[in-house]
This record gives sequence, C-alpha cells and structure tokens, in this order.
Amino acid sequence: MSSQQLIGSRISLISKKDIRYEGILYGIDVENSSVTLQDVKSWGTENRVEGPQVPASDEIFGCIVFRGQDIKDLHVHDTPAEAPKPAQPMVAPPPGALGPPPVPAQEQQQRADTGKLEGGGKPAKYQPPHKKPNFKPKGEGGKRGGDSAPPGPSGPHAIPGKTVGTGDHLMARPNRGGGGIAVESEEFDFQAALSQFDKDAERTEIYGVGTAADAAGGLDGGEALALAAAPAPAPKKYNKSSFFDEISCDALDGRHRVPGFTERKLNTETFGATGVNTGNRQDRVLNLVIKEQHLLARYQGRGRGGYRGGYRSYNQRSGSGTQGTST
Amino acid sequence: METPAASTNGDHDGKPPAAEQDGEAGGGDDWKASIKKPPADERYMTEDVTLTKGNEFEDYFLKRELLMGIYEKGFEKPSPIQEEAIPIILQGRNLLARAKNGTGKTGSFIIPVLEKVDTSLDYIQALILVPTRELALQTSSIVKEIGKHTQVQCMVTTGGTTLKDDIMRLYSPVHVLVATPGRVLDLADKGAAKLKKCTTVIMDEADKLLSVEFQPVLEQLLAHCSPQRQICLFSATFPVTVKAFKDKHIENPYEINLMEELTLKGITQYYAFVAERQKVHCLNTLFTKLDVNQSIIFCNSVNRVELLAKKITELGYSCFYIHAKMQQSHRNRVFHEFRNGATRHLVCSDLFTRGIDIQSVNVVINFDFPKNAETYLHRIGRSGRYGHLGLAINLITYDDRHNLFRIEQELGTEIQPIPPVINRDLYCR
Repeated sequence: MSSQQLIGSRISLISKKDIRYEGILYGIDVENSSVTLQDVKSWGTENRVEGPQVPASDEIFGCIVFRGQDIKDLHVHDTPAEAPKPAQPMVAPPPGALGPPPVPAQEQQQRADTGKLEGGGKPAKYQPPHKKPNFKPKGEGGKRGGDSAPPGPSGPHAIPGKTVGTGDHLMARPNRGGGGIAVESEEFDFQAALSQFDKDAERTEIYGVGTAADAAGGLDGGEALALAAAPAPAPKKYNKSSFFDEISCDALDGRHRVPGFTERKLNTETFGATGVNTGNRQDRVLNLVIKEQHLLARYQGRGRGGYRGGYRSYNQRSGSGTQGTST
Repeated sequence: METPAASTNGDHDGKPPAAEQDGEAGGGDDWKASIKKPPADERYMTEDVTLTKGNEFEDYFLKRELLMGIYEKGFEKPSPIQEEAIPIILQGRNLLARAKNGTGKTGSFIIPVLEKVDTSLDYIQALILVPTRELALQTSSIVKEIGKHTQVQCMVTTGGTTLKDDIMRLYSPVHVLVATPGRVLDLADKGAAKLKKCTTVIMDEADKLLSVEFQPVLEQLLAHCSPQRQICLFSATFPVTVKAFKDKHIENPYEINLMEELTLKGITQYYAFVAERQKVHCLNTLFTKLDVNQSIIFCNSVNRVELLAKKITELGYSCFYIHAKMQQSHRNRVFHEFRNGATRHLVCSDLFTRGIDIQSVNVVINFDFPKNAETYLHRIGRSGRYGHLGLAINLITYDDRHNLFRIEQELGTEIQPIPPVINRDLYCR
C-alpha cells in the first residue's frame, strides 16, 4: 500500500509521551519525516503511564504535524474516514515542537517522574471464584461489543477495545495462510478422547517396565512386557539431597527453535492459519516514512533496492527474537 | 486473623521475650493501631507457606517504618523461605536459596535489602536483577510499597525504555536499583549507574539470569560492583549449570533448600488428550466447564499466542495476550490491566513463565505442552500463588507423550487424566 492510499484513513498515534491522538491522515511529508493529522483529538495517556495521567481533551485541533521521531506508535483504523476536506492551510511544523500546544506542560511534569514506571501498583483484588460474570454462551449475538467491557474491578481504567494486547485488536487483522477454523458447537468429549490414549502402555513402550511407571505408581506389573523392546533410559527424578537439580531445562536442552515450515504446518492444523497479520500494519505509515527517509538519505533516489537496511534497522525496535528474556 | 500485637504472647521457639520487643518498638505499640491493612485473604493455604517455625516479622528487629510497610502490604507472618533467608541476608552472607513458586521469595530479599539500606548515603547500595522487564516492574513496585514509610529510593530500569530518562533519573539519589541485566550494564558502562559501593546483589530467578545469553553480562556487572559484595541467588529451579558460576563467583554461600519436592501442594494437574486440530474445541469446552477466576494460557510461539487470542475472542470470550515481540508500552499496559482484573484470560508465551505474581489466577492452561520440566514447573506455578489452590490443565497430543512422561518422572509428580467433573474445592477454595 502506498502512503497516498492511506490518506483519509483514521489514525491513532501515540506520542513518545504516551498521549494518544486520533485524527484523519492528511499527509505524509517524506522529506521532513513527518505525519500530518486533521481533526485531531487528544485522548490523553489513558493509563499507559503510572502516576498522574494526562486527561483526554474535548478540543478538536484542526491540523497537527507530528515528527516521525516523536511518534511511538501508530495505528491505522480499519474504516477509512470520509475524504478529508482540506479545511485549513497546513501549519508548517514549528522546529522542535510536537503536538498541540495545550498539553506539553503536563507532559513535561510527567516525564520528570521516570522513576515511577508502571507495573501493577496495587495487589490484585481477589475476586471470589464463584462469580462468573463473563461467561457467555457461544454464539450469543453481539458478543464482541459486549465482551470487550471488562468484567473485573478495574472499571474505568480498562483498555479500550482494539488496542494492542486485547483479543479485539486482533479481530481486525486477517489471518495469514488461511481463514481459520470453525469450532464445533457441541462439547468436546474429554472421556472419549482420553480412551484413545493408554498412558501406561505408552510409557512402558518408551521406558520399559519398572522405571518411570513404578515411580508414578501407574503400571500393573507384567502386563506390558512385550512392549518393552527398546526402553529409553529413565529420566532422573529430583532429589533434594543435592542443591542443584538435573531436571530438563532450557540451559540443558538448548533452544527449541522450531523450523518455520514446521510451525506453519502445525499452526495450520491447530488454527487453520499460520499467523495473524500484525507486525507491519500498525506501523505501516511510520515504516513508509522511515523507509522513504532512508531512501532519500542514503541512496538519493536510486530505487527500491536500498530499502532493506533502513527497514530492518527500524524493525529491531520491536524486540529481539528471543522469548522470555529482555535486556 | 491474628494480629501481630496479640501474637507476641505466643510461645514460639527462637523468639525473643515480649518485653524486649516492646522495647524495640519504642515504648508502645501505638504505631500498629494506625496501620491500614488490606482485607485479609481468607482463602485456604497449604503447608508450602504455613509450615513455619512461628517467627514474627518483629523478631528481626526491623526498622519500624519497614514493619509498617510490611503489614500494610498484607504480610502477616514470615513464610518458611522468609524465616530462613531474612536473617542470613541481614548478616551479609552470600546465599543460595531454593523455594517453591509463589512462597514468598521476593519478600524474603526485599525486606532485608530495605533494612540494610542507609538512606543517609546517596548511592546505590543494592542491585536486584531479574530476567524480564515485567518482573522488574513487579519487583520494584513491591519494593516501593513495602518501603513506602522509609526514605529508601528505588529505581527500576529495563530495556525498552528511553536510556536518557534513566540517566537523568540517576542524577538524583537511588539506593535500590531493580533491573534487567542488559540495561543496567549499559548504564554502568556509561558511568551513569555507579555500582562501586553496591554491596548487595540479589539475583531473582537466578538460573534464568545465568543462562547462556545472560551469564557474560552478569559477570561484567559483578565486576562493576563492590569487591566485598554479598550475592544472593533465588529460584525454584537450580540446574547443575549454575554450579560453575557459584564456584567461580560466590564464596562460601549459605544454602537454603526448602523443596522436599518440586511441585506445589495446592496445584492439581490434569491432562486432556487431544489431536492438534481439536485443541481450540477442547479449550472452548474447558471455558464452559471450569470456574476460572483468572487464567493464564500458554502457547509455544508468538504466532500461536496471537492466533489463539484471536480465536478466543471469536468464540466470544474477552482475552488479552502478551509476548516478547510486542512493544514495551503495550506489554506494560497488558500486564497492568490483567493484574487489575480487566479480563479473565491472558494468552502468553514463555515471557510470563517466571516470577509473575497475580494472586487471582486460579487456572493455568498449557494449550501447548512445554518441552521441559523446568518450564512446566514455572508455568503451572503462575496459579496457586502463596500456597493457595490452583488448577493446571495440559492439552496433550500424541506427540507430546515423551515430554509428558519425562516431566512427570523428573518432577516426581503425576499428571492425571481430566475427570468428567472437576471438583471446585480443588481450585476455588
């Protein structure tokens, strides 16, 4: 999609100071690496930061120019808005300024308080497990709209629907490699499925008799002797007498990197698709701005061949590939 | 609930006489009356946290401001690991401590760290290292809560935030620094974080911190700290691979191992046998059968986390998802909101396997069965926090059987076939 096609789309943009602005994309200035939105409303920090929040503002700003470097996140809403009327002449970006003038004072104050990062200040209130306020029978009408309302004690601080990290956010995104699967309406028959798997016999086949099976107390003596043809060595059980353990772990196993094609095949089996298109979409405009900027800076219009470097370096922002670790 | 004041008459071993305590409290227990405790958690608790010697927090002669923070946090009495570890850390000894998931390890190092900090000195005196950003946020927020009546300044620093902001923050006093290793090393290398006088280094989820990718960073970090530093390692799992690090860097450590067995007594583990293509169907049925207060659902890849979160939403349930490839601001928000109960289900990758403490989670579902015992143990330990009850449900395919048997054997536990009816008393009490 070219950047021009996105013009007129409704865009949510989060500034480096975690304030969300929503407006209609008016233009993209490749040379200055900036994005201009029209009819902009500030939604404030919406609980993205801890401590004092910048509230939403009722005022609608005619036209705001955002510099690429000040944009933290950008999301294209799905329904393209009406074609924007070029209501006002575009405001030239004041050097070093970002966003509407009314908020910066509050923002600055908030930034000063960097010691307070967010992170679950209050202990979660325990909800009595007897309540099941959120269970909705499958197929109930209007489920999505209703269900995005938070059931818990969080009340007004809930994530608004369609923000990254909510299931609703993914609903707007097409699957890759297939359309998904239909789920049967009748209950899954757990007992019938379990009867397909003779756990003890399978274990005996792997480990032979008298090892793992005994430890777990499951096997009845000689019943599966015939299967014990090539027993694997039984894994070592944890023993408190040594401080260090020898249970299987990431450090000993190495990383379980599943090859891409294997995972795609598995995902297709489970979900009828290989993935959800997320990555580029939210950052599409931003990517375009940055890509094109790189193009200009480095290759002086030599063509698309120069894209890769800039594009990749930008993408590194979204984290290293390793799971569960961060630096 | 027994109040600390009333229980000073108790006859517990190792406890100083009541008169001494009153002296320590500074002529009266008036301060206790002003403590605003959270409502008591009346849920059932297992021996994993109740089998104590009967110590009281007051037995450790802690600063009154610290005691106030402890009680206001809702801590009533030290858990077994806290009874063992607090005196050792206060003595300044090196420590290797092993205790089950969710039995109070975090409290057992935060309390002595806060006690040891001298707020008249304006430098970093304690460094608390954790392997993930979310865990850093969680830990630092507990330091701030328990230390709120003290003058201790705690700062958290992780990747995924602006380095410049952290450098600016370090111009004002910081006594306790909670961090993920990469960022703090960066700050130390730049001279922004001055660790030369840092005498206490805590490594939470130590085995994860000492994994291949982190260990060189950890060694460089230790070189920045005071040569007289005390090192304390905490985890529920300590693979033999950690031993080499211990031998090289930790002189004469005191060892605490409270794990007679590895798994928590409060967690009931079941498996459902499924074909890969039946997993979503099976999960959908589980949702209708289980009494989920909050659940964490684990998948083995980022793609699968997103696919499943989308599927669950299509089925009409609200859920959040989190994985390491999301932007940090989004990760923070999801974590925060899920903790506040904004949604019932969280789909995640192994990013959330370690340390994350959300008390109201009573069900963990392994949508994808993990590949090793360590991961399995930490995942199911997200429910049954602080000795409470929880349920772990594993979707097992035929290909998972090897891992199933291995994990059962190594952990010395049995994962039972899911019964037609799951007794609510097993996880809702």
